[in-house]
Amino acid sequence: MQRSIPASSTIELPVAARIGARGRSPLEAAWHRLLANRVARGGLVIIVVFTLMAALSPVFLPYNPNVDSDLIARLKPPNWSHPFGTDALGRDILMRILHGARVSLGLGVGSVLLAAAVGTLLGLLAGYVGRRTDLCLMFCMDILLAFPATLLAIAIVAMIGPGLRNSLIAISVVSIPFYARITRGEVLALKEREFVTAARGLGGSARRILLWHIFPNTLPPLTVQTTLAVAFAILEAAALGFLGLGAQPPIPEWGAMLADSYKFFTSGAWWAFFFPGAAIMLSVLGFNLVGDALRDALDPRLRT
Amino acid sequence: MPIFWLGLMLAWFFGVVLGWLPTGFRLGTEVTLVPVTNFYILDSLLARNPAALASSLRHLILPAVALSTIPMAVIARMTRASLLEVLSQDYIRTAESKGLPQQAVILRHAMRNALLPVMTVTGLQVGRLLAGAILTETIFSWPGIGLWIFESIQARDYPIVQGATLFIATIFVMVNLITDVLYAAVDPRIKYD
Repeated sequence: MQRSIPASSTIELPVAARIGARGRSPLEAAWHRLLANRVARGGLVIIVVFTLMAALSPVFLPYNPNVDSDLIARLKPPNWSHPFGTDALGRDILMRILHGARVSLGLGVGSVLLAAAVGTLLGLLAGYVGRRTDLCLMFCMDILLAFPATLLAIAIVAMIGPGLRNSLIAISVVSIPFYARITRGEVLALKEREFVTAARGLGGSARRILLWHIFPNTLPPLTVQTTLAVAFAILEAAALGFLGLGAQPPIPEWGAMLADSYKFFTSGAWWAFFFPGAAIMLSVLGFNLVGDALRDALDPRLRT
Repeated sequence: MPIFWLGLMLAWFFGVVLGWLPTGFRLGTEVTLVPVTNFYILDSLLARNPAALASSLRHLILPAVALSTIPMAVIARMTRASLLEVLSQDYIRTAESKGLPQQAVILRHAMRNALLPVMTVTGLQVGRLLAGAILTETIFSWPGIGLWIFESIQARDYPIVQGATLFIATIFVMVNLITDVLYAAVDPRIKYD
């Protein structure tokens, strides 16, 4: 399996680059291919909007979930002062969704970064060292993969106790095997390439070869995996929150908001669960769209 | 799309707004049915009770749709990708040039070869279904392992959560084993000793 961006192998420079003008690097080319894709642009817009929500709402709209309740205005349908209506404690749903973006996206991105760091390291080790290390590590990963992901996350949180930090740990543990497997596969293929042999021939140490020659080349598939994993993590975080294992009240988390309001659907209070669920769905959709488009952009051979 | 939100929206729209379908439980209160196997459809067939059969089927529709939509999308995507890959092969062109009807080419020549990755994904989706059942059963008040896990979580009764998790994981591993064995049935080139 060859990937684009051969960092240290010979690159056929375009004519413009050879005579000194600046050519497109493979990364720039991938970025342009990504932007040319209308679906990817839509996904990027969604991600940017949600990121802005998460970053700006605490600055411009300070919110204290502990004192926010207006018991007179309980379960009111959307109106001018509460555009998304209020929940069973009279809390403004729009406000809670805006602030929930920080919790949900933070959980999603944070757990994925943790999982990517650990999983990539394990994969690099397993792929490069090989033999018994490889066998042991991959055996552990197979055990983790034997459990359905959501279920394992639930079991882990149930063991170490509910809460935001613990659900972050659980979600990242569940995502580690995917990183380890992808990285290992890439390393196994890259290890046999000429530029690695060349680096070794020049006297490069194992650490140098692994970090400077092999690792950069595993990045394209890992980037795709990371984007898709954020979508998965947001979904998992919401599921844990819904089950009461994630964010504890009164933290405004989308999944927990759904759990608070789903009992009221028979009485017709649709706004209380429609908007938090729509927020989850849109953010997941955004990351999924960009992830799929990234895969096409980074690996031109897959394009159909 | 989060499965619990889909379930809620379905229950709200078809159950509350339109009032066509029940929003939870397995059987209406107006019918009586003595459980024999506890598969209500089977039971009502055994008892020759058409009212109970209709009621249990109506109660089954929304949870079934909520639970199956996401795996359906995944399987459909995988089938498309796999079929596209197979359709560019030489033997498909051969089959077409023999003058076979397109239906026969797709079904007999292409689909059979495109089936292996689809089967793998389907097997993996079972795990998702089992986990999704926790959320679906919670929303539709179905008394299964899923609701049991949910109630144990609420009661902080963690041994039950761990035991049920292990049980579901066992089922998942068995399903994947069966998938692997089925490969040999679909693809004669694969043989197990």
